[in-house]
Amino acid sequence: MTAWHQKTLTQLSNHLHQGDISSTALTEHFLNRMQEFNPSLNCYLAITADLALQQAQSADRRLKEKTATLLTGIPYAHKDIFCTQGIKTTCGSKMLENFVAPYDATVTKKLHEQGLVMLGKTNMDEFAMGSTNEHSYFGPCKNPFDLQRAPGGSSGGSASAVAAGLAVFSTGSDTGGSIRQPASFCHLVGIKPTYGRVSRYGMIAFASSLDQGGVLSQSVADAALVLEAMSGHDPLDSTSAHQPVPQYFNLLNNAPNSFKVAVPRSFFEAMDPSSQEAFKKVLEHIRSIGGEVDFIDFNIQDIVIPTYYIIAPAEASSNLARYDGVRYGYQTPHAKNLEDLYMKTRGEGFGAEVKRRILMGTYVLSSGYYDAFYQKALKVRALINSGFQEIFKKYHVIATPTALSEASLLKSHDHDPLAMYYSDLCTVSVNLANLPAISLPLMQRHGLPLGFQLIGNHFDELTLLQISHKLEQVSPWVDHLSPIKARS
Amino acid sequence: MSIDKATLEKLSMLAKIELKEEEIPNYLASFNKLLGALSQLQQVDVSTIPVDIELHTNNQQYLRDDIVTEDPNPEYFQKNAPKTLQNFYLVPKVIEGDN
Repeated sequence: MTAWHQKTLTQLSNHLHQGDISSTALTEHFLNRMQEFNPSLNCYLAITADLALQQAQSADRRLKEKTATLLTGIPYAHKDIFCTQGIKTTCGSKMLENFVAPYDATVTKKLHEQGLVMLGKTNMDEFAMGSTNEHSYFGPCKNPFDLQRAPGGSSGGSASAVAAGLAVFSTGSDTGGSIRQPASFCHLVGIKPTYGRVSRYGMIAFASSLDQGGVLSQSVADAALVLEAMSGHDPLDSTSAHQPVPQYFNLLNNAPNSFKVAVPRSFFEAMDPSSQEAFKKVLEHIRSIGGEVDFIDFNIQDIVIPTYYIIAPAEASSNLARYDGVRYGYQTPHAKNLEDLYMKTRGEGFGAEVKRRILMGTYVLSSGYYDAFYQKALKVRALINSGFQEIFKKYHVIATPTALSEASLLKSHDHDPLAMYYSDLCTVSVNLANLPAISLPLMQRHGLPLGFQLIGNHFDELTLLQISHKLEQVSPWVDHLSPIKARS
Repeated sequence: MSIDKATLEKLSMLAKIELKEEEIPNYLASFNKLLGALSQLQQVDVSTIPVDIELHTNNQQYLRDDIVTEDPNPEYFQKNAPKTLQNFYLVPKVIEGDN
C-alpha cells in the first residue's frame, strides 16, 4: 500500500471521509516524519505540533458530525510570510525573529475555517527576496531530490516540505516566480493566481503590485481545491478583486475539447537542446488532448528582468520602511540617538540581499533617476502587458518552461546576484502583467525536475487548471516521482 | 552607468541602512553590475505609452464602509514592541539638552 505521505490531498480526503484513518493519526504520521527529516532539509522554521494536534482533533469531530469539507483534516505547511495569530511569523528575517503576529492573514483564516491542520511555518528567502532560499536568516533549505542543491525560492521551504512528504500541500507567495520556480525544482504543481484573486491581507509585503499568494501541491486537483478555498474578495485588501470564484475543483473535468496554445519562440530557443526535446514531448501531449500549438514571436526576454528589478525593489524600499525598530521587530542595542536607532536597526536587522534591494529601490526612486528608471519601467510594464493581451486575443494559454535549468547547487550564486536574478527569466513577466500561471512537473534536465509553465489570461485560472488536469491524465507525474530518500 | 562610494553612502542615509565599511566594495560591485543590466531599458521605445498608466486587472477601487470593525487592544499589539511605557513606544531621546 502507498504510504500516507505519498498520497495526494484528494486521495487523503477520501480516506478521511471513509474513516480509513483519522486526521489525528495522519497528523501524527507527518509530525513524526518532520522530526526525522526536517533537521537535514531545514524546510520548517517552526513546527506547530500542539496546534496541529488540536486542529486534527477538531477536524475528527467535524468528520464524525458530517460537517467536514474536502479539506478538513488535511495537514499542510504554511509559508512563514503569512501572519498566524499568536504564532511567530518571521518572514525568514532576523528583523522579525521574535515577531508574534497579532492577527491571522485572510488566507490563514480561510484555510483554518476549512478545518485544515497547520503542521508548521516554512523556510523562505528573507522577505521573499531570492530564488534559492539561501537568503533566509535561518539557514538554507535543501532540495529533497539532491541535498547539495537549493529547492528554489523564495517559497523553498514550502516546496521542499511537500516534495519530501512532510506536508500534503503548502502555501506560497509569488512576486516574480516564488511559487512556480520552487515547484519546478521540486517536481510539484505550483499555481500563482491572477493579482487580486487571493487576499494579501496579513501576507507580509515585498512588492505590493506584484505579490500574490498561491499553492504548491502534488496534483492539479489538489491545487484546484486549495486555490478555491483561498480565493475571493476581501474587504481588508482593497486590491483584492470583485470577481466570482468558479468552482475550480468541480469543474476540473470540463476542459475545452479544443484550445489554442501559443509558444513564444524566444523562450523555446533559450532552452538547451535536451530541454527543447523534453518541451516538445509535452507539446505532443498537449496536441493529443485537443491543443493546437503555434510558435509565435514575443520578444520580451531582454526587458523583463530589468523591468522587474526596478519595480520590485522600488516597492520593497517603500514597504520595508516600516521596519524601524520601534513598534515591532528587531531593535539594535547600540543606538545613541533616534537616527542611530533607525540606521543600526536596519543595518543589523536586514540581510545582505534585502539591503541590496532596498538600496536599489531607493536609487531608482531618487531625484534625478525616477524618470529614467522607475517611470520608464512602469511604461515598459504596460508594453509587456499589452503584448500579452494581444496574444490572448487569439490563444487560450501560453506555454513556456518555468525555468531554463534545474535547481542550482547551493552557494553557486554567492558572488553573482545578477545570475540569480536571471534565473527568474521565464516567470517575472507573469507578475508584471498580473496574470495567472501554473508550473507542472512535466520535464527533467540532468535527471532533476524541471517545470512546464502555462500562462492564462486574467482571472481565467479555471482554463489553466482544466487544461493542466487533462494534461496530467495523459502524462501523469504523481505515480512516477523519482525515488528520494526523504520520501520513502 | 555606475555609482561611486559617495552615492552609495547617500543611498544608505536615504534608506536609513547603516553599511559597514567592509560591506561597501561588495555592494558597489553588485550594484554597478545590476545597473548595467537595468540600463538596457533605455533603448525601449515607450513613446506610445501614456504618462498616467493604468495598471489594473479589471479591478475597481473598493472602499469599506466607514465603520470601526476592530477593537485593537494596545497591550496586545505592544507585546511585539522592543520598549514601551504605558501606551507609548519608547525611543532614544530626540531633543538634545540636560532635561
